[in-house]
Amino acid sequence: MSANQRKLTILKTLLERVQQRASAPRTAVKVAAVAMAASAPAEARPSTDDEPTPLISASALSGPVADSLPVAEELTPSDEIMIVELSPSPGPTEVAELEVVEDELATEAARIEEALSSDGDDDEPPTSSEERPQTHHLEAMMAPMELDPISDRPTARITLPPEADESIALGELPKQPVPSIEEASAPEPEITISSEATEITLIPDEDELIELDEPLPELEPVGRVQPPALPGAEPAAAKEEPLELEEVIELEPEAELEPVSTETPAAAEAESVQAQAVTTPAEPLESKGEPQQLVADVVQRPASKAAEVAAVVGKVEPFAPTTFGELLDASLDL
Amino acid sequence: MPHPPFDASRAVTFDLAKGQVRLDGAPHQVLVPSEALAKLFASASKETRREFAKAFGEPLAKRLSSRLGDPTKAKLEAVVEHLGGEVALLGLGSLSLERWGRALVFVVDGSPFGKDGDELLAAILEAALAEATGRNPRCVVLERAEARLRLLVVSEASAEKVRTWLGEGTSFGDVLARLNGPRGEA
Repeated sequence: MSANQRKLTILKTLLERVQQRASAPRTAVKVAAVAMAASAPAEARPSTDDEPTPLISASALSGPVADSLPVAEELTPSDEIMIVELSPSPGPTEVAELEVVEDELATEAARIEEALSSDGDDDEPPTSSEERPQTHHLEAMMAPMELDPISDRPTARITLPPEADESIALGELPKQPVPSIEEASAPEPEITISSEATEITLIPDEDELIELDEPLPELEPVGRVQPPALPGAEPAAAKEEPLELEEVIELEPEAELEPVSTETPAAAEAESVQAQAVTTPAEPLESKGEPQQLVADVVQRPASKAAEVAAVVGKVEPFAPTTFGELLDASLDL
Repeated sequence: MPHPPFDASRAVTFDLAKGQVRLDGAPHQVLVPSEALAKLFASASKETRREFAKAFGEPLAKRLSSRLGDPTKAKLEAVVEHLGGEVALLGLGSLSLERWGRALVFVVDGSPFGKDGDELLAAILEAALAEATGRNPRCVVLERAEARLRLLVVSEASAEKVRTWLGEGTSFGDVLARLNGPRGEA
């Protein structure tokens, strides 16, 4: 707020007070009625006309104690505070003098306003004078907001102007319109959930996947759980291993196998039966090409003893087979 | 070409611990009294006898072939040695061969079955020859003299004639002479 604006505000305030003083009879009656109804004690009344009686002492408001008092913050425009000044009504001469002062102040205020409007001060608030609520005289006495160095809270420090020392008539605080906060009807952000977002699947861990989504794998191998083998137990297959034939043969000649019964000792000792070939060369009869007496050609095994040559009466064609097949076939052709 | 000698070493194995007898590695051999076996064979039907003898003779022929190869191409001495060795391993007696002209006669001495087991021996040899040679011979009991048995190897048709002749009381010499005589005489 510039200095000119501050002067203008002070002048307006003074003008209002002068006007109020001019209409003092009505206000005094009103205030007196209120005072009688309140039945205020004599101590509470202002003692003299020269000494205003504020509700809150000026020293208190200007001292460091006032810094801690939440005066301006708690006073909201909606609070109805009645400030009562118990003072005697002004006389006719005083009213005339006040009217002169009022005229002078109004003139001075108009001049200042014109000067301000011609200057085009940038500090002028954007709101118009019609919309702007009338500035109260108490508001004019309020110092600009300062940050409390202690609490960093915005605190209003009210300082009574010296010119309004005793002539200030405190009145009712006007109700300022409650500023309505119209939130900008910003379009609501469209929240679009893409299909990709909905398809996001949190995969915490592969192990959990195995536990949750997949059936329990057959442990097997991995995972199948086999019963613990008993200590000392051997697989059945190990017990069913067939004995090697050679092992059996090798064991028996060692004669380690004792006869289990007295009935078969000889059988236990008899390990194997081997046929022994005994060479006994036989003298085969030579077959002759001419028909001859039928005499059997004897072929014996070398082990057999010499057989008696049988002979029968008869004539046969000479035949000398060299292989068993020739003889067999000849015999089958008979 | 000399044939390999018959070697019966470790051919029969007795596993007393397990109570088993093996013949050339083949398990589950059984020592059975010959008399009981002969009675069982005698009481069986013709078809059962053939199957029983086949079960005896086919393994024998396989063992023979494994040792000797193709018996039809082997010499008479080799066949007699190896076939006789297999018969001896089974405890069926001592085998020899007689050639009467063109007739083939097997001689078995000391058969454990006696006279009642001649048909069994004839059936076993018949099955073994069929398996080893691929022919279809018939073994006919030609003569039984004490412990010696003569089995004639002929075709099925000749076997029927021989049985007929023998049934008529013809001696085995005459049978052999008829067989080796002119075709018209047989």
